[in-house]
Amino acid sequence: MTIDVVQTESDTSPRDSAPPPVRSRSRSRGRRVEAALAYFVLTIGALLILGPFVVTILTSFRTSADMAVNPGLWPAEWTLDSYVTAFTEVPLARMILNGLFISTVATAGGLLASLLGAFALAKLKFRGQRTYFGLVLFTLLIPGTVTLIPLYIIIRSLGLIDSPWALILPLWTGSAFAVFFLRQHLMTMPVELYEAAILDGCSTPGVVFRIFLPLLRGPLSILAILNFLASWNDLLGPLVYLSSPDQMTPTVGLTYFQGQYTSNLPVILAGALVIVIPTTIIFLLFSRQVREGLAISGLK
Amino acid sequence: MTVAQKGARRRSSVAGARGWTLLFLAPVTIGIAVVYYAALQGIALGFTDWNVISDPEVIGLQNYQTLVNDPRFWTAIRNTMGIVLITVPVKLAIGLVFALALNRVIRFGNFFRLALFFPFTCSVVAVSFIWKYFYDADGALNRIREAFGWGKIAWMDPSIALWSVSAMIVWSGVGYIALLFLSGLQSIPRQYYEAAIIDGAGAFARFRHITLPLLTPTTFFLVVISLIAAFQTFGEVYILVGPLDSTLTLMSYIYERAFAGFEMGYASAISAVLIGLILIVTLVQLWMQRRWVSYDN
Repeated sequence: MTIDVVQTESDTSPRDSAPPPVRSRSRSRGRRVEAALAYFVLTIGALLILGPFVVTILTSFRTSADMAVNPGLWPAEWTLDSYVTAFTEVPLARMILNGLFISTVATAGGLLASLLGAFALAKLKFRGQRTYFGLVLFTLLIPGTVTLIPLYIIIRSLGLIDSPWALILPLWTGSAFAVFFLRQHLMTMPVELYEAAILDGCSTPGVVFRIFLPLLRGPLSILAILNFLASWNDLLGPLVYLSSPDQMTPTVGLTYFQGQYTSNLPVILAGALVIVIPTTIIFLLFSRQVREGLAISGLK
Repeated sequence: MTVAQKGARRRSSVAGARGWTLLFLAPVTIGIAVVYYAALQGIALGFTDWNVISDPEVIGLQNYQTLVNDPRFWTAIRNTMGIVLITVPVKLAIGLVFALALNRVIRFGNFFRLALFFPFTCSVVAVSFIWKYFYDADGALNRIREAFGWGKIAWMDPSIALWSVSAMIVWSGVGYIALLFLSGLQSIPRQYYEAAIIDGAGAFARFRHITLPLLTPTTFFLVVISLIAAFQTFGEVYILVGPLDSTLTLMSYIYERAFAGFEMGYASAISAVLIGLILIVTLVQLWMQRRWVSYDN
């Protein structure tokens, strides 16, 4: 079949006999057709993917009464009632603060731990370094499913159920991926930087924070965004460890809405849109870093 | 360290560094120790009967015997495999088409990339609620159908609920696949195509003999991670629950048994099966990659 294609093409424009202008014109027409097709495919794709968000935004400005009598997707009258309900009847503001607190503190601590670990692996010498690094990497192969229940038991025995620390402390030990990623970057930086600074009387932590931290700004910001997104969007963690509405993160808080507002869809949709706002801001501001981060980590 | 003597200076900095090494490695060491401990504990729990309150009781293979005769376990296996078999190939196929298109456009490329990728960064919970509204009997999709004069469809009917959930998973994840394929496409040297054009190769031949083989490493990576993610589908079916266990997955069954029923031993046994499945599929992939993945350099 592929041979056929090759032959038909060479029949219509034999390589040596066809004058170059004709060839290039037919090729550029082919290019234009391809480009038009590409725009068509992408426009359909963008409509299908963004459309549901637009419909959801429209619906969040409706009342449930309007939805019942009015069949279409367009609000008959616009109202912010659903947003008001989401923030007054449910402690959504509180949940957002909880979520921001957990995501920020967990991310910051996790990055610090990963940075220190990566520095020790890349720039300090100790016995069994390679084995240790191997042990760190191997944890990447252990699926979260197997550790879910035992981790819950550990957190429970620490008395951290229904506390934000149940979600923060496990992340404060750093992540194998971040250690690996930062170590790779540190390996490319000369060890002389470290030795010279030590000889000048700088302490080891001083070297890490004053010399290497600024050099690692790029990789660290990618990891920060990635961890923040993962933490903010996490469902299983808060679901397993948190129970009272006051401790809840917005992601799970939304499922808590569901019970109360089954009949009031606009309220649930308003809540869904509100919890997407922080990640959307990060996404729009740092889209390149988000893309790169997810591409290299291959997570989610 | 009170008086820094000349010759001892370097040695003391190394000795000082040893203390720092231990301190720096402490958090990560605790982390990996917990992971290894938890992994072993998880396997061990599968052989016990434990409701968290009383002490765990070792019951050997009994959990696994119960599993074999548990119809809901088999439903969960079937549904999980269904989601895997629907979402992975469809996501990859559509993602590749989007990537090829993205590779062709010059203007608005950034807008299209952002648009396709956007749902992937949103919370699974938010996305699932949005689709819950779309699939509702009185929801957005049926409103659109009615506007065209078509009848309503019960999108979450047990017979098609798994397809509906799979469509949502594809919708939210296809942008990620497209972007990774795009970076794969952009790393293919232009000269290959130019040489092929001189040799008279048509668009399809170029795609078949240059693009596809050189994309196999990206494809392999995407197949492996999509499979692992699909096997662990949870958030989507936690919110968008199909009636009569029609969307019960292994992960949601583990959650239900462990944290609603507090049957930690039984849930651990199901986890072990899930991990076994992921492991087998990943190993098969690794073994098969020699046959279809071509690493050029």
